[in-house]
Amino acid sequence: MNILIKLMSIVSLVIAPHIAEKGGERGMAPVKLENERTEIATRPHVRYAESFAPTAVKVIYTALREVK
Amino acid sequence: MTPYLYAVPLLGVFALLYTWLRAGWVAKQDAGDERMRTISGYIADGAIAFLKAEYKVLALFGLIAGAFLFYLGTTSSNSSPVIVIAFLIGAVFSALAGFIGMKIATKANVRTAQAAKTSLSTALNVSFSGGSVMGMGVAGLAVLGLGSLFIIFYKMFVPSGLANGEEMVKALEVLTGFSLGAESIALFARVGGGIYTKAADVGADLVGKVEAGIPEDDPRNPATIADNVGDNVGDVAGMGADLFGSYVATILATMVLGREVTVTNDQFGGLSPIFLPMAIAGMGIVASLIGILCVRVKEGGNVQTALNTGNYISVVISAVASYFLIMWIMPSGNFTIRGFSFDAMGIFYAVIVGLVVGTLMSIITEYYTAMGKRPVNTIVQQSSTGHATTVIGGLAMGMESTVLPILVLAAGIILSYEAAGLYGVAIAAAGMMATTAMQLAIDAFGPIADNAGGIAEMCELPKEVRERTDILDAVGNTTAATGKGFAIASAALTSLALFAAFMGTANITSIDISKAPVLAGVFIGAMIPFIFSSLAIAAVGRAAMAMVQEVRRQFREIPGIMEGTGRPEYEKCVAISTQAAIREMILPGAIALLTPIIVGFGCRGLFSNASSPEVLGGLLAGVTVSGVLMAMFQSNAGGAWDNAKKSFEKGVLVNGKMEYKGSDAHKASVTGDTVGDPFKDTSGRA
Repeated sequence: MNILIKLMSIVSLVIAPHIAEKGGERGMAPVKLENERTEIATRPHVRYAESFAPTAVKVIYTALREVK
Repeated sequence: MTPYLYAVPLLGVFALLYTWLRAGWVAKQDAGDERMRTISGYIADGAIAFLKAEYKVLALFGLIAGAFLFYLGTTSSNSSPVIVIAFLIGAVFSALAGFIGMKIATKANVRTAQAAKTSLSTALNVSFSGGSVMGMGVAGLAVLGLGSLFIIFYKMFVPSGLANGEEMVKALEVLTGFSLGAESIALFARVGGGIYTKAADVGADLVGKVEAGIPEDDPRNPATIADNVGDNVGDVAGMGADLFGSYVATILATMVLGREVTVTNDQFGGLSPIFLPMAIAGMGIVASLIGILCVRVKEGGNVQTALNTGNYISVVISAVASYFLIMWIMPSGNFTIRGFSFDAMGIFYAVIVGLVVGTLMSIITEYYTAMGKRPVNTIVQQSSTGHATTVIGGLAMGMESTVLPILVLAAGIILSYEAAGLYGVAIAAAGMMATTAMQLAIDAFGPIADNAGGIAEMCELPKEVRERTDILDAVGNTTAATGKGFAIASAALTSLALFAAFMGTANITSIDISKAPVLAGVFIGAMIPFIFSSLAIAAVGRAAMAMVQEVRRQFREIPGIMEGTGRPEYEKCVAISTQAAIREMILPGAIALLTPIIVGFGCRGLFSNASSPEVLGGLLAGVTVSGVLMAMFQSNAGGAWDNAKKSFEKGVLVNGKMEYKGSDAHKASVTGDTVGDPFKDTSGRA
């Protein structure tokens, strides 16, 4: 249990620069909704696919949307 | 760059030099007659076979993790692909720490048994020398690795020499790879070693002691070699890697927080808060060596007192030397970290708080697990009414045992914070870990003495030899319990320091649990130690079942085994434990490594009111609180059950009647001990 809690803390410290907030914005979803498109865009899976997913996932996602 | 930085790796080299010379001395001691050498050879071969199998799996893990770290290193300006090198060096050093410990323990065990033919003091000298080789080896590797890599990364990534700038963030981030490598190997070594040792122990006890009625370490028991191998791979190699990881993580977390401390006019170009934890670790090596050299006992003397004297000497030297070190390294005036102002004296107070918390935690743990004290006596009394009440009594006592340590820990956190802010909490942990070499020497001495007793029994050495090794073994049981208290306290403070470092690096200022995703993270984090324990305990259960069936088969099928004329197939039991440990350690390890990655990256942009570092922070808070409590509960309950069982070996008064081994109350206490074995030696300590 000692190592479990230390290891999880160290893994978090190692990935911290990659998930770090910049000016309190990064990593957080937009709060204000301006239109329906924005509302759809704030759904977790859409935001993930459009903003944070690896390039390969973005390509597949965009292709699927165009097929729709 | 200050030339004093080079003193840190040099002190590591000094510790390794002692390790080499002392290991040579142990190897030169008499290893006894042919039979003793044969038995100890079986144990050493089994331990090496396990480590080889384990390191093969870990090498594969290292390659996969290294590739992932390389990718991460290329995607952030605050990291570098060089982190892979730091990770691999940390992993190799951690494995080496375990290997050194295991190698010396398998040499010292048989030589301790042989020395016990002469006197108790000679036996203590050999067994404690074995422990000191491991203690100094682990501390030396940690200080050498961390000190050297810091110098290299400082030169590589901080050309401006600015201690507080973004360049230093990158240098320390890359250095974190060393700690990650060390802790990853430590987790697998602890889980794998824990499953190995308890599968063998439970299997050997259930069939040998309970069913066949033969004593502990009887050579007729096919699982007895696996049981003794388990003492080495679990209690020695696993512990070496564990404390190596703790030591490195503590120093590193303090260095990361030290970067945030603003100092002016120091003689190290602003490096003093980063240099201080490494300097304290280096000084701790010298203090530990003096303590180690002070451990002496005369024939008929008290072994526990001798060990305590050496330990207290090293702690006092550490405390006094810390004062002068802090006053020399830190400049006069006030420093600030995240808006908290403090001075050099505050840092010294925080170190003292760390030393006091470590000592108190050890004392409380000893109270809850020692024979003759109220908690163990209560379980002994409850054994008289059966197996169920023994288990209930131990569970209740384990839960009660969390109260005082948590209050001490809470007080320690508040006081060290008041003394020097978050840097104070981290430096308190660094102060506590300064005497790691001495603590580890005492811890490793226990399994060596235990093994020596096993060899004496298996080789049917004279009664007085077993009596002497039993004295050492009894002291070893106490030091093992106090060592666990120390390890839990250091882990809790280190985690808090790492948590604070994570918040700084992730650029978040608070964790707000009124936000639903953060609270959800806290709950999920609190669940992790439970599923981790479940997997580890279930693994021991499955491996023990396989062991029980194999031992029963051998008793049934090998002619003359009970008469002592047929040779048991020890290697088959060794293979069962090895395969089970390697197979079952992967899933718990993967949970620990992957959960923060999944939550950290998976929650990016997922919630409108909480960022992924906040959710991950909540997860860490949950896992730390729940993990520390589970560790205390499991270790203390297991330790109390163990000593309740041992109380019957010399006879104990239950309801006005003396009860001994073989009585119904003793059988109930064996059940409690069997339940507690995976608690204290597999899940609780991993």
